[in-house]
Amino acid sequence: MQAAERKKSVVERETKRTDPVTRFLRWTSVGPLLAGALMLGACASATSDGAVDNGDPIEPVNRVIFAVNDVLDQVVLRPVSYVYKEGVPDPIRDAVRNFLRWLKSPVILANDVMQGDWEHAKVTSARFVVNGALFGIVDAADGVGMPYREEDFGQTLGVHGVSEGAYLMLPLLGPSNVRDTVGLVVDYFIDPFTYLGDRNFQQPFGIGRRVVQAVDFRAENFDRIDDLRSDAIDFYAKIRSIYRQQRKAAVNNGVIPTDATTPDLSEEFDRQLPTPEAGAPLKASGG
Amino acid sequence: MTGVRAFALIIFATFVLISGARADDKGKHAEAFIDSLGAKAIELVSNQTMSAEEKRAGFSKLLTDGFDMDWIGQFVLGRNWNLATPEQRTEYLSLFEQIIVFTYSKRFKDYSGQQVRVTGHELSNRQYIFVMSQIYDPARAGTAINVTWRLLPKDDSYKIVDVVIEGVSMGITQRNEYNSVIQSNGGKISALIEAMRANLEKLRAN
Repeated sequence: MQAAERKKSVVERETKRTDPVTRFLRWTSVGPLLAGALMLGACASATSDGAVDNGDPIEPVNRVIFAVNDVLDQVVLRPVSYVYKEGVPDPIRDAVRNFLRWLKSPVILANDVMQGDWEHAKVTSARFVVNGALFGIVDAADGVGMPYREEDFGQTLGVHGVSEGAYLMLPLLGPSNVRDTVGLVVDYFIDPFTYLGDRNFQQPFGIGRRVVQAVDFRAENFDRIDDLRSDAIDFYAKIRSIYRQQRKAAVNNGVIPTDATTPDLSEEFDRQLPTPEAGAPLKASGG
Repeated sequence: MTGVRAFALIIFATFVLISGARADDKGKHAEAFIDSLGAKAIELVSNQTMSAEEKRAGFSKLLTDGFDMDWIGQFVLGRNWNLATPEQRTEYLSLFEQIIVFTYSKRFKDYSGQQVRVTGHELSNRQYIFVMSQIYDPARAGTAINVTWRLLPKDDSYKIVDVVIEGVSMGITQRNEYNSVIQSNGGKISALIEAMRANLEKLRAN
């Protein structure tokens, strides 16, 4: 608990380093985005009375961006990831991934706190301290029952009931939605590592970090993504479906809703049953 | 009066206990069902003497034994099922099953000792039973993948109607994809069937 407090104050101190005017400007630049989010969110729910709601009111635009991203993946990211996967030994790639994850600790902690998830805030803080002994390149905490779990501001908004809004395909960054795009921006600004060092360090560090993240992700899921792409009839629609489901699961921290009252995949399955069972529902008796 | 009330209470309590016990049995049986299916699947993929063809045939049998393929096929097609002609339905279901067999059997060669561990169950307030499991690699720590199986009781046993891998439902994903194909072709189911034929041909080729 003390560790959590200490880390929190570190986050606050890091954030306060910039002057109030800069911070105000940053927050006002988030303002219009939030307003846009609400508007697009309204659009998305307005179409939900239609037959199939795929949450994607600007699909034609998204498909064009997706096609460009796909070309970039095939021409640049995939070959680079292949070389990385085949040329760099496993332990070094593991160390790189652990380090990238460790760098995310302050953002995860801030979101744990904003979600009121004190249990996970403790885990995040402990992980940051334990793995910090070697600057995060060894995930020792995972071995002692504190596995890595990502939390971001998109999930925080989801926990507080903000719906996903319109599906968005972001250039270079890939699948997202209005809520998660706002989350990306907020996470960027609350991340103390954004403000690390001077201006000459910040930009290359920020870009480098994100590039390595993309290569690590692509290399780790190399065959899975290739299979998904080659087996799909409509690759775009498949990615959209997977992204939306994954984000829903992430907001629920991986707990799959099993009752009909939860308005997502259970609802679609319950509609499939020919006749609703008459009488009292079967009482679940734990497992 | 109090006697009657007490009697009613006893009947009620007994009923709750019995239905509770039955519900629990149901879950335990479903867990055993997944456990044995997982064991059979591992036996099949790790078999060194069978040819690829034989393995595919074995997988096809496992699939029809363990999964309600017609149910899944209908679910994936969604409301378009009602709009399809009997001929379209037959061809669609046949293509659907073959695509799944070919898609998954070509990945058998990637198998490297993963195991299935059933971790529990949950009953939905409808007929569904969920069996939770993990697929893990005993040789590598921290690689466990959470897989939830959605079952429906059928005859004296169960049939799987969906597989959820780390929060992603295979049924929903396929349903969304096929729906999108139909939608972008002006609502024509024939367009989906055409695309599925091409897809199957491609899968057979490699």
